[in-house]
Amino acid sequence: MTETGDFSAGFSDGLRTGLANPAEDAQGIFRAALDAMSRPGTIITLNQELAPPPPLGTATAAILLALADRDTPVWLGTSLSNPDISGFLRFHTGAAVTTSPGAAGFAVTEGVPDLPLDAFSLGEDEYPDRSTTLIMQVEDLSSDGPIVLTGPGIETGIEIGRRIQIGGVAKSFWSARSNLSALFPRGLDLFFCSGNRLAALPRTTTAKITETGE
Amino acid sequence: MNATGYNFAYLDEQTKRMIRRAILKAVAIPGYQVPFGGREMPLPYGWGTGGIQVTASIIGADDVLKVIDQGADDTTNAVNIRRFFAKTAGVTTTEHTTDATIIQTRHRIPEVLLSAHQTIVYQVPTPEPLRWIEPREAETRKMHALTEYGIMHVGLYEDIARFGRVTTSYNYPVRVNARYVMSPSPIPKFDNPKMDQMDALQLFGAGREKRVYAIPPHTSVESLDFEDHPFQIETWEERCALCDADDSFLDEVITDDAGTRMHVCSDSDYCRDRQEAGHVGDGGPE
Repeated sequence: MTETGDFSAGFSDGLRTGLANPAEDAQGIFRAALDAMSRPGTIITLNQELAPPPPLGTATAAILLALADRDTPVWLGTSLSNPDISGFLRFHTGAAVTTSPGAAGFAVTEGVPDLPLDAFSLGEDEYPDRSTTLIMQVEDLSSDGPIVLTGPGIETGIEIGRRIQIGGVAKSFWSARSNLSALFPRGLDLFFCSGNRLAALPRTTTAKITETGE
Repeated sequence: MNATGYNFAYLDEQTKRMIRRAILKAVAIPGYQVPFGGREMPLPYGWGTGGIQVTASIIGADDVLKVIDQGADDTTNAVNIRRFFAKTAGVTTTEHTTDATIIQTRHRIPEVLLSAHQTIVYQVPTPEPLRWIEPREAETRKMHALTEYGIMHVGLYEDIARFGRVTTSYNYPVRVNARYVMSPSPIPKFDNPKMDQMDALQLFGAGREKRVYAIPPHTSVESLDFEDHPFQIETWEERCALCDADDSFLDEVITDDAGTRMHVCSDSDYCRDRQEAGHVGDGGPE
């Protein structure tokens, strides 16, 4: 007997299960992600039962299981680079785990990435869609915070912009992100995930910190 | 679901993931055309293969689907696409605009305002607005990248120089979020103002050309024009012969061999709603 049939080999506590109903679950997760991307800063709660290998969060794992595959190499930040997570993603999505951030379709970090944002792919002027989608796991995600968002997908009415609180993201990240806006249409699209909640910030969204942020 | 032997909503999961990623990028870059690996669909190009692939990628079991062709729910194309999704995705279908969560459309935007819980999917024959001027894809890509759109205004200006007004009446080019010039698909220019700041998400699928693009909700969509020749929509002196509407897009219908004609709403659901509410038109000529 060889060990090829034993899928849990190399995992510290066995291979965690993926989506129970791949077609329906992936559709639901995608629609949540689409809603989030269409209405930047709106916080969406997934009702997806998932127990991904820690410290990979539920919403992060859900997005990857629904959208990553062999066409989208996944880059993992230092704290997420462990064999349980890379094995989990390889098994369920078929995606390659890459060490090169510029080659990543999806990049996943806990908190702000410890490398400059333009280390990821920002796409090309002619093909700005060929850019990395950065999924950032954050401590907290709530509405009515000090960050005011404006741009496509956000209604400008009596109160301008949509407010959001994103925990554990340093001010320097926001200035680094706004520096990228000069490169438009090139840019980086972001998902913020906290537990089973997610919000998105496409490259077109302008974020301003009003009160004393972190 | 009636049809067996197919994945949910016909397309396989790998294809859906690829289209879904393209849609997310399309929403992130409003008006920019994202290339995707278009698949063979069980109907010919020109019948909405792009729209169907977008709808198949977003639709879920609890969605309610409406399909219109030239505003009407009861045309062959609309009926077929509605049945296709009733069969392959088991979804509820409707003819009522307000009941739908997804509206797939060819050549019209419904008359009633769409709301935030709705998504409208346009079928697009020619996604590239610059194609009439520049046949080379590499060049049009570069023109979009460099925001080099002056030539679009030259085209409109030639119309004004020759006819005294812009004669383009459908597929009238728009500028999305003050950046990308975009083809709104062959909707009448009457519908262009509805795209601006719409509450609903707008997705566009071109099957033959394999492109998807999008306009997020609450995004500016401006029809190209000149200060001294501002954009104008069509108006009619007639009213709808069935529901007496004076605010909807009217189709001219020839009713006999002598060339007698009447005007009726192109949006069949809007017209029926008005008739049910007691509005009566003059019934057209005898």
